[in-house]
Amino acid sequence: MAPLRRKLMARMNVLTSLLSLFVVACGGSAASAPPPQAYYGGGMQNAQIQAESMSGGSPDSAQMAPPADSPAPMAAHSNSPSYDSEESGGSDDSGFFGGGPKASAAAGGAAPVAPAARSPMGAPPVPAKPAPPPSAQQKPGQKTDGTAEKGPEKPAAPLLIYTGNVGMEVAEPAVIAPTIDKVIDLAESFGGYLAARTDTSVVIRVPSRHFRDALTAMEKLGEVKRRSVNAEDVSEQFHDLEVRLANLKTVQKRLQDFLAKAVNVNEALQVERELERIGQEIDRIEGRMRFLKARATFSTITVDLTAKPKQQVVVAQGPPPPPPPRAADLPIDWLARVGLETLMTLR
Amino acid sequence: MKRTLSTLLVCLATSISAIGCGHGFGLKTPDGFVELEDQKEYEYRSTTAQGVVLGVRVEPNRPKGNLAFWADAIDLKLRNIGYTAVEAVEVKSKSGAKGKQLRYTRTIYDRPHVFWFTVFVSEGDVFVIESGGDERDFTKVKDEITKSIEGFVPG
Repeated sequence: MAPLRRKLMARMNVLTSLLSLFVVACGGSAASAPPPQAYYGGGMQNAQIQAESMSGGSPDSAQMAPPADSPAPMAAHSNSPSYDSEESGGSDDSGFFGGGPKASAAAGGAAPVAPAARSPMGAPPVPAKPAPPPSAQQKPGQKTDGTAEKGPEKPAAPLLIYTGNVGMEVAEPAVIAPTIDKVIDLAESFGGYLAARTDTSVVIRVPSRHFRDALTAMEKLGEVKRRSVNAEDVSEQFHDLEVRLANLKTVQKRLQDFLAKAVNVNEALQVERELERIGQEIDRIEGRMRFLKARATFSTITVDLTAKPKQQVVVAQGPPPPPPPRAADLPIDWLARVGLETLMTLR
Repeated sequence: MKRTLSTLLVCLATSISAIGCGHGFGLKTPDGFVELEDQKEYEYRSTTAQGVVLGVRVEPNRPKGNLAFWADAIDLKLRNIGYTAVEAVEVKSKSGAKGKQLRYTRTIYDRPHVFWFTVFVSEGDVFVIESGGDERDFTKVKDEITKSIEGFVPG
């Protein structure tokens, strides 16, 4: 009876780890759908393939026995009917996301709490069985998924990007350049800086908290002909990036653990490739987040300057001179021939 | 005696020809001008190399008018076709004839030009001395023209 129970428990452990592996591979919580495949590099199919590549069909499966604290041996995946596949060696790089025993171990069988609500896909089934107890390193109350480990800070206030456009007229073309200099000085006085400049326009960035003051001050430098202000809320976009970044970092950490325990060159290379891809994705997201933060921290104001059109000077000169008197049409032909035209025609 | 008479006649003919008396009036061609031959519109016309022209028109005094009439008639005609009157000058030739000179400017081909006309009136004829040319060239020879007009002898 005891061996049977142990066998049953082992099977349950295998199933649990398989589910956690699936969740990790999908990068989302067990109660949510996985994020897009392009981002997490796989999904269930990739996880399946990876599971096969890591376990089934390999005679060295036994050598890949997980450490003692692993909830289930990886080799057991090949016994799972849900992961049964004829593919044995065709491994997808992205499949390394959650396919290894370390992934299962790192996940601890718990479901990550990734951005479930935004996932367009349906959530995979969650086992009714409670998650395995946290590992020894896991502190009570700590979230078991990777996203909670580093806890990306949510922006306290809405992340707003302000942009302003002002079209102004100045007295004459010669005043345009000095006015642009004044705009730059004004921006610097508010802690801002010059972003771009042409002969007739200037783009400055000022701290967002001074956006309104700066705009008001600039409008005094000329006659405002047009003005537009735009505020774009990028809080949600930023939060999405934060969550994606946290998940990627979790996956990166797990892959690094995989790499440390890779038993052959082929596995190591596959993990390396995946790590590289994850690293690039992390860099891209971090760059985008830096950009959004910078845009939100400093507002952009574009000032276009034109010179007022010169007004036509109308000088009152009194009544127009009277037309010349009508010449009497004297019946004298030669009178019409007196003049330079006839005189200077020598031929 | 005969020889002396012939020589005198030749000299007389030459001098008469030189002052334009062959036209029914007397006018000395100004220095720097050459007289043009075979003129139809004018009884006399001469020009400089630069194109400053002096011409004499002799017309019958018909309808019969005095100096003021003909001066005004020509002046009105010129101003109506775009000439700008600058000044009017009473002139008196060395022969004692009284005339009237009116001076104008006009732009031709974007160049300022000067036009003077001087009119003398006799019982049967109206003598109109016209002179004109590019302002720059005319200024150089206007003294010669003035001298020539002062020496004019109506026929």
